[in-house]
Amino acid sequence: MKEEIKVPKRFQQFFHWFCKKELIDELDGDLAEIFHQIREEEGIRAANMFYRLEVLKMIRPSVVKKLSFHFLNTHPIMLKNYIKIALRNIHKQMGYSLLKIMGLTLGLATVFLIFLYLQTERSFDRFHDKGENIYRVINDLQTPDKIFNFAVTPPVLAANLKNDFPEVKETTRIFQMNRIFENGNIKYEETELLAVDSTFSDIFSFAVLDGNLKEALSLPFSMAITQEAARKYFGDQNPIGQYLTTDGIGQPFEIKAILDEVPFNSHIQFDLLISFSTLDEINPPQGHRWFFLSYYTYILLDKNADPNVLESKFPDFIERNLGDIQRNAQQSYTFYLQALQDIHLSPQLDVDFGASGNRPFLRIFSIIAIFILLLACVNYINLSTARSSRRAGEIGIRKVVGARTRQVATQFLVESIIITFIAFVLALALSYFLLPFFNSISGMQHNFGWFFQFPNLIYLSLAVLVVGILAGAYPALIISKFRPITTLKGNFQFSKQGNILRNSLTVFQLLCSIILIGSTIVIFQQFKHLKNQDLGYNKEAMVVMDFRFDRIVQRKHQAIKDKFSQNPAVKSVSVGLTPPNINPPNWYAMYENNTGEMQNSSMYGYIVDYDFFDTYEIEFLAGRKFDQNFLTDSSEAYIVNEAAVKFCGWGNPEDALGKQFNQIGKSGKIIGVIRDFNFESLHSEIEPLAIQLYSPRNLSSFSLRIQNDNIQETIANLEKDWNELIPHRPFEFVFLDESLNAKYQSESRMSQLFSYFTILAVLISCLGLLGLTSFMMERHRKSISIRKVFGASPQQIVIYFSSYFSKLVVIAFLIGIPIGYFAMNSWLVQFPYRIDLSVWVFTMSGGIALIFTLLATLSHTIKAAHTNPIKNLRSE
Amino acid sequence: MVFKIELYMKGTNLGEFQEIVLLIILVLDDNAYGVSIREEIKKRMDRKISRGALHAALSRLEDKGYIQSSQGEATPVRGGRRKKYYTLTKYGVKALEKARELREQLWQEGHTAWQKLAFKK
Repeated sequence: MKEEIKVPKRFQQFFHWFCKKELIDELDGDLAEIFHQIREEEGIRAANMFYRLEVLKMIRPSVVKKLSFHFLNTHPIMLKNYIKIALRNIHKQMGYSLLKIMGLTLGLATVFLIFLYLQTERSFDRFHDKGENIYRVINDLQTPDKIFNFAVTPPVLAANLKNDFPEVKETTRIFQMNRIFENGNIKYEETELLAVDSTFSDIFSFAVLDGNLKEALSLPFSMAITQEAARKYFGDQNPIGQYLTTDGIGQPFEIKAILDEVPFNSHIQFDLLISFSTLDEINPPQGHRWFFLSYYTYILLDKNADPNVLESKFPDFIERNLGDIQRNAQQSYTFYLQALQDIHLSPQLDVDFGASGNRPFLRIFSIIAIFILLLACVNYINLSTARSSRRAGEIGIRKVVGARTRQVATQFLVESIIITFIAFVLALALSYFLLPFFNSISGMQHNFGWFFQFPNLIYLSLAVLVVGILAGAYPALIISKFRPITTLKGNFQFSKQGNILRNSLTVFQLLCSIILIGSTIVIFQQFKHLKNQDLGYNKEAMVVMDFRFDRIVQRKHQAIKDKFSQNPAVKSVSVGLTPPNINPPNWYAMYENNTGEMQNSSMYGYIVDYDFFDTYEIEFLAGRKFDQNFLTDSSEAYIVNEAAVKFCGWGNPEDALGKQFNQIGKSGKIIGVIRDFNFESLHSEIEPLAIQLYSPRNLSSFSLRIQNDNIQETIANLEKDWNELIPHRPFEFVFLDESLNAKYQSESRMSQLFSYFTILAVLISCLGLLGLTSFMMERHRKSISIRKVFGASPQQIVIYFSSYFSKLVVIAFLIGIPIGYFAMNSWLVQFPYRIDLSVWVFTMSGGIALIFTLLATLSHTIKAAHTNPIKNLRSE
Repeated sequence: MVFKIELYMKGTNLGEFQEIVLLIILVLDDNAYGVSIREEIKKRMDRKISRGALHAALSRLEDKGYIQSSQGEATPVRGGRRKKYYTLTKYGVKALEKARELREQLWQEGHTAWQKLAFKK
């Protein structure tokens, strides 16, 4: 009599799964026998316990089978057969294959481009030999009412750090300048000009093409120049030993070294380098000062030194070197170290060097890329499982002839990897064509050749394998489980689970589309909102010229102003320190509070002429403008904005009039209050501002309000006037509104990229829907025909199926609203000037999703609804 | 086969557990298979070993050429799985002999010292 043995089933299966095939008979039998014995002696519980433990103890090298991927073990002949069948199938069902391939191509291309973007952002400042030991010193400066996070440091810091800390091997300071240089008649304004310590070349590894960089950076009046910049002045001549002259400095600069072009992925960008020894000759030396923030300080740490340890010694260092100075000035420093390679992706600091990367951007786009790829995989899964009935016969035969489940699964995996590979090649081609376009949106110089560099090609091939398996695994699993008898009998039925899965995957696609559409609308609205925001002044038809404190222009400012004013196309001219597209300086200030005492503070400062308020059309709330008839205005009048009135606690604008005010050593009274105008950017609230009249040495820019027509001609005339009066300086201008828009470049890029991603996601979802509908129509062929036989009109049938898909949209919509709303709300929080997020945005995106769903499905449903029922019913 | 002889020639020593397993197989004569070997070890030495650990030892012995296996009968209690019987090869017998000789030699040489220790009161 056969006794039934009930060993724990799961554990037995598990054991069979990992055990070497040739050992199963012996070991499984032995375990069963002992199990049986124990069950008789000690009962079922002890036996079960024993069995489980024994199975676990079987996990040892001599028992466990060798780790093997079945499809790597596939016989080459079978593999050949799989590939042949796969290609035949791709060919035979061209339409569906194209849908699958297109979806994956779009998904992969997106991922490639974003991967490229990520890698480029991460590559910043990684080319320096000693890069891992280079740090930048940054600081927080605490003033009585504000904390600044400065990237610039006091000039004397570098020398002190090197003196006090043996682990600081080397230090270098960098000072950003701009000057006009000339070689005879060839003249350029150099804005990428840096003064650096001679140790610059010991720390950084910028490639030297010719000459001696160290020498160029130690001797006064010598310079290093990049090849590109040198070509501007000297053409094809060898620049070494040549001279460049600059205004106001008698001695010419000798070129002592040629550098290769600075890699774009360096946050330190320059065309020319001069030495600090030169700087001290042409500017008053600042090297001893603690409260003069203009120099960036970089240090090279010892290989074995810990930056955190050094950082922890800074408080003592500060107390030792400037404790008393700080207390007198009522300001205090906290110094930090920032690893060179982290600088690019760290948040922008006050007075930072170069534009920094955008980490949140990277995160958002990586997530989106992954989702788009998932959408493509979902397409593949949906289409493959839906079409699997076509393959049922083939699988039945294969199994009858002796194919194992795993072999069939391997076959389908091979197929999906082939399709992914085709998509991969197409995606490479697509990204090649999209790259220039992508570069222009992302504002970077990505290089296509990068894809073929050593590790990247491996990553990409791995990606193909992973995507192929990800997309193919589920269909392969399902299809390989088909039972030959049912498939061969011909009444092959789909499981209900398959339908539920396909529906939920479709909902997932629609969900992503709805969220992306909604987000795009919100981002566009916010962008438009920022652009159209009332700035408090008129930015239209405003030409701004920045002459960077040029002494000669400062001297001739009145003559230039008069000349410009004579031009009939110029409505009004103003000269001052900073126009609204440049951030104004923040100065130490004292104001009279309500109790009549003077209080220390700091405030942004504008320096303007009498015509400023008319030129910019700024509204007054109280008091009056600067007036030439009041002689005291130039020495003691201040005009403040509303925010300043609030900040100083003066109450109404009228109450502010007559209050004492003092800034940069000029003490005076408030004579007027203006309505807040935006002088930074709309990313921040309007801050308190004090405006005073100019003295010529403070001037740096002209602002011209011009007629809105014939702008080209007006500019040409202005240039002629300028060149007549100021021959030494090139005529440079920007349109204020364009320059302001550049501040919203990051929003602009984001909205553009977002809209492209949305289009992609919608496109991929549509491809999926298209495939799915055609599959449904095929399956419902008979039911449609029967409906028609019983009198249903084509419209009724179309409506029936459309409502089916609409249901999916509604479900996606209900899930999508809260997610999208939450995501967009958290994005909007960063803007002080933001749109009100309304639910209708997402309702609208739901509507759009519904429309594209119906459009994608309609062609097939209409076709199906109009077929003659006889065609489908005759066969039975 | 050359490989196995070589191993023997090198004088690969038997581990203690391996020696016991070989002896048990010897004792069980023609009824030595997984379950009975495990049972015998448990009975004689009061030592519970897992079937997995036993398999490791058996497969090592088989690799060394000390034992050989043959398919046995299937029983219902085994779920229709066949047994695998183990018998000693002549190399196995030699290895046991060698181990025994080594011990006896050591016993003889250590005899006087042993007597001193064992009978010292």
